[in-house]
Amino acid sequence: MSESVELPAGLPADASPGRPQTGRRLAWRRRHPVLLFAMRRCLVTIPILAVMTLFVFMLVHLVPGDPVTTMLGPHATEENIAATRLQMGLDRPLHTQYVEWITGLVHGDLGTDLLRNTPVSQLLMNHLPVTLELAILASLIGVTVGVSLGLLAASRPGLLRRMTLGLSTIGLSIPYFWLGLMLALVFGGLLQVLPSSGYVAFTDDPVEHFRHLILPVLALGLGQAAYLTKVTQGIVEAFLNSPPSDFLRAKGLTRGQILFKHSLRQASAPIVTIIGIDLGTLLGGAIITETIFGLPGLGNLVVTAIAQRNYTVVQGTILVISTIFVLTVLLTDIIVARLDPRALEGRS
Amino acid sequence: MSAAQTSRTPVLSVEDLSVEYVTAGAAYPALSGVTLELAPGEFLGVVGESGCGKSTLAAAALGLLPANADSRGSIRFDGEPLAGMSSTRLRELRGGDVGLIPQDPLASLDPTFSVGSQIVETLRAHQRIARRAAKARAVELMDTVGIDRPAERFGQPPRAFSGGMRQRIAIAIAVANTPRLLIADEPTTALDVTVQAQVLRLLTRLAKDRNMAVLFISHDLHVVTQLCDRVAVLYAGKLSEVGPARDVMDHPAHPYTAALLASIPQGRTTGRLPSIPGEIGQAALLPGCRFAPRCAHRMPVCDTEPPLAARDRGGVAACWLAASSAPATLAEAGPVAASRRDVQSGGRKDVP
Ligand SMILES: Nc1ncnc2c1ncn2[C@@H]1O[C@H](COP(=O)(O)OP(=O)(O)OP(=O)(O)O)[C@@H](O)[C@H]1O
Ligand SMILES: [Mg+2]
Repeated sequence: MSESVELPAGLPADASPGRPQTGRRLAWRRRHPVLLFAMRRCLVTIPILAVMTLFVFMLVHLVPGDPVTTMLGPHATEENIAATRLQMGLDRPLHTQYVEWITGLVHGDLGTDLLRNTPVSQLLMNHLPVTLELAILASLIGVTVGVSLGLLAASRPGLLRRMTLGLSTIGLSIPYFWLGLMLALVFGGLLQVLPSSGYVAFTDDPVEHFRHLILPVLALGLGQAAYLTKVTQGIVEAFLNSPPSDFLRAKGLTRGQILFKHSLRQASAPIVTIIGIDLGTLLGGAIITETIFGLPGLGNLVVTAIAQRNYTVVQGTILVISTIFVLTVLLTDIIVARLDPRALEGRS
Repeated sequence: MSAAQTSRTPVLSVEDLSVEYVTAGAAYPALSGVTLELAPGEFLGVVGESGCGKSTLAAAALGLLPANADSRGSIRFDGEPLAGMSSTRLRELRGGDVGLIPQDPLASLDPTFSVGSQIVETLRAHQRIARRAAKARAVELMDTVGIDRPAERFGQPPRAFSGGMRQRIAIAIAVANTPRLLIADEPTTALDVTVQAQVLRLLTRLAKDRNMAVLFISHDLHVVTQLCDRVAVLYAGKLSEVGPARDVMDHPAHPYTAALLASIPQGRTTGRLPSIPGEIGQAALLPGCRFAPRCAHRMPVCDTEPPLAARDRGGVAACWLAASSAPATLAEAGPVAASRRDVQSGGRKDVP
């Protein structure tokens, strides 16, 4: 059944890899199913990215208001506004503006921030690292804590298991912005042990840099940890009670081998999928978290830009965030296919 | 069994083994007072209907009873009690000295690892052997159990193999470290008839070549009597009869054995199979003979525990009838005890 999936249509089902020509192609496809899958997935990603640019552009331009009114303030005259619009090219038809934007994108030019008169790419270069660091650290915390607790809960039934699952249920039901506010209030406000606001560049002071990131990273990462605890525990526990696990014990494997090699492999595909999809959520969550903790990331950048109808900046930021998301999902799919070849069958 | 063999220490000896499963506060006796011995190189068949405790016996012999099982009695491997073994020694035993072919081999391989790596892993769990040498050995084993182009198929996942081929992989894993005892839990139930015969031939060949003792578990008395030196018949967790295979077949001393033999279809049947009237149900909870409610020879005395009576040509039978007289008439009484009924589908009892 599984083999027929990889056979191209029109070939007899019994075609063996040894046959000439088609046989050789088939052999290649059989030997590198993951590579083939990766290539296909990459090709599909290109139109997705193209359509995405159109959506981003429309979304930004169809909202009423423009940067000129913000720029010139409430007392600007009609003529003044019209002149500035003309000067900035905002009077031209939307499709012309879109084509211009895309042409720029292809050449690596994301446009210019009309208000600050700086290239958008430079703004992004300044803000993106903060957000990425926040999201990646949060994801790292989520995975380490979540997978360890999940394994622990699954392998040690009893009080520990119930406590872990109880905690993760609580963790799942707390919204991260609330958690962020509480962490800021307790550790930053009441106990005064950690800074609850502001940012220090790594190059200025590495220790302070990380001290400032602890609370936002926890606010963002603990939810993912709770989710991954549940998922890992569920999959590992189901595996430990399944015939394959019984057979592994009958083969004389150690508990550790069964837990870390076999059941973790079982859980790895879902875990990687969750990490991949959550990275998108984390990027979104970072926007709010950055606002709470006053971090100069993409979130801060885009929130201000939206308020000012600063098209090019909003466009650029959303485009970068969505591209990261699409590429992460792509990468996730390929890793999952590598980890668990069963994933190939449903999708090819 | 030659006299020389029986005089040696048994590979496996089970003495007065009782296992109870406790679920939601209620205890269910899956095995009660089972005593068995298996000589080196011997083929012992264990037969019984679904739910009579066959897999429980296999699990107990590997020291792998589930957490909710309560067991009494003793199990010895080569004279060494399992109960006294360290967890390291137990792990050495499992997959090393004792190989298991699981009841559901199709579902028992790990779907996320290649079949080859699952064989290699077994080898490396028990032998100091380099990865490369283990791989060569695994390919060799795949060849031995009859997998075509083993080197090519080494890296494929279980789902690329048919049921019969997966069964062969499970067998390769079970015999990988040349165990002294092989426990085969209904090794052919999941396979169709032609494949069954091939797999059985493979098993017998391997066992003879490697001089393994085999505990062959089956619900098919016919297969067991053809394959095994001795047969043990289990009913609702108790041994009802143990004896030389041929003799149990020709002269069953227990009415349950007779009824089982009678329910084996002779030649081709068309949709109808003879079966034993009644069901096991909660027979394990009965005070006297557990088969009594379904027995055609039931007597008042059957309400009390039957003694283990010696059979004429070796072995024992747990039956008042066997205890009082030679049951010469039982073989003929069999067909009377069994009636023709429609084939029941889905009669297997699922283990929660
Ligand atoms: N883990 C368990 N918890 C509770 N009861 C169990 C458990 N495992 C088995 N049992 C019960 O113990 C009895 C014996 O089960 P066992 O699996 O040994 O039977 P079996 O003879 O192997 O049956 P089959 O031919 O269907 O495999 C059955 O009634 C079963 O429901
Ligand atoms: Mg069973």
